[in-house]
Amino acid sequence: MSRLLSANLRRLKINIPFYIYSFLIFAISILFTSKLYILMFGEYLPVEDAIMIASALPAGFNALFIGFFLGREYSDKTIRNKIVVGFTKSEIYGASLITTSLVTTLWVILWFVGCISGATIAGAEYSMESLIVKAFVVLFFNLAFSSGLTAVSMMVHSRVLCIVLHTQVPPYLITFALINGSLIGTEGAFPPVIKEIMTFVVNLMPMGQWFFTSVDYGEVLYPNPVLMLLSVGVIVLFTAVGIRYFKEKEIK
Amino acid sequence: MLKLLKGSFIRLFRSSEFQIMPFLLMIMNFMMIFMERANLQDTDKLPGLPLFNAFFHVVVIGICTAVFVSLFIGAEYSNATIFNKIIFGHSRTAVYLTYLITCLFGTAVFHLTATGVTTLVGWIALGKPLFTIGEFITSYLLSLPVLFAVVSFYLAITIIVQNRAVAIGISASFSVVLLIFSMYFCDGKHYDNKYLDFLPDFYLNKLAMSDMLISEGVIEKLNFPVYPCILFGLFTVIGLIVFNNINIRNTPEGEI
Repeated sequence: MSRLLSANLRRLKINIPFYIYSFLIFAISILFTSKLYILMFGEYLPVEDAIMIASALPAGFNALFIGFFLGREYSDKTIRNKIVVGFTKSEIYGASLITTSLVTTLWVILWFVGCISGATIAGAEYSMESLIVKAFVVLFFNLAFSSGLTAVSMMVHSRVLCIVLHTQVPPYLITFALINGSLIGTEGAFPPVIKEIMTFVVNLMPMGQWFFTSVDYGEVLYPNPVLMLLSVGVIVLFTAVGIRYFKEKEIK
Repeated sequence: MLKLLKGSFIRLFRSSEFQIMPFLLMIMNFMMIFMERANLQDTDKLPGLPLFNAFFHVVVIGICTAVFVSLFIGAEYSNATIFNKIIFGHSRTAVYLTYLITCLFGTAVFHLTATGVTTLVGWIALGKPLFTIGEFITSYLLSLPVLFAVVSFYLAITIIVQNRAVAIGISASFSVVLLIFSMYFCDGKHYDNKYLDFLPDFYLNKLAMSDMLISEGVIEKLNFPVYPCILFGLFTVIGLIVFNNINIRNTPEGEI
């Protein structure tokens, strides 16, 4: 597996989109945080909230990057060749997951450094402790999202279809989380049991965690350690499903 | 060129990406309508359908258009149809303009379908629209040049790249970055800044979030999108020049 991993990392080292996306994440994080007011609200936000809005950047660029990076293994038959030379499918999946997780971690670090730089440029006051705790929540939900993208990439044969799925589905998941969360706050809209389920779904979804940590929308989210645990659960679930389907799938 | 156009339109109506796009856009609008409806305290007293609900899908239309154009035109490269059309004797300019017209038509149609159906569903769910037919038509027509600029940009990318997967990757990357930057600027303070219309997504976001950004006079404040028209012309000329000078491959990509 270490040979597979080192091959993946070598491919990553010469991957131009990886460098472009890394630069964009860093630059946009600085821009967003230094401005400190976002979107349509037209008013200044606390630095913690401004930072959290930009925290979807690693996930957004992962949606573009992972399909390309892993999808290429199918299109140039690398996966088939890896199996032919004796690597197991679990090893191939594991190496891909570790590579995408490393990229995600690096991008979360870039986001964090960019945000801190932006906040410092803007002269904002912030508590480093609370930012670090939030950064861990961000890291976990980004890892959960990237594990989902990795599972889709390993299950879908076509790079084109993979990129289409990765770019088309996330905006809808964000809107779904937004609607779910706003309905939780509506008095009498749904029975308490349904509301509990909806709250759980919002907390489970990486998009839900992102949206409701960046926008003050009442008491929708669970405490931070629970959010991280839920993200770990999502990673385990996606990986289990991904490995199972990848093992069963016939590689052309 | 008429034969080319006929062939392209037949392929457009049969293509799954063209058939799926209106539904993708409508889902976005329906989710917003559902949220508004579920938030109602008194369902007997309907508040009416605001303009932004009918046009909310324009937030994601940039990404959808990028995918649509790259898939639709990229397929022509991957199965060597473009190569065959040129071998058959059609001029490159005619081929390019055919693709441009087809993509513009396709985008205008799925935008109209999404807006129209959303208005009807919103009328049932939220009550009578809070805008007149004139305002609806004006908003739709004003959004068209912006969409055309977006289409010409992604068409130029697809034509230059010649690979469907790479074209989708680049176009989707651009659409996400454009969306992020336009959302960054799209607030009450920059609403009247006409120079920001150079970001086509900014104009579309203004339309989608009009009711949140300014309370009244939405249509009056929407200026004619001059800069997107300039961009449309610019990208079309660039695309044509590049397409007339590139070497077109005849080897299929071998991807679906």
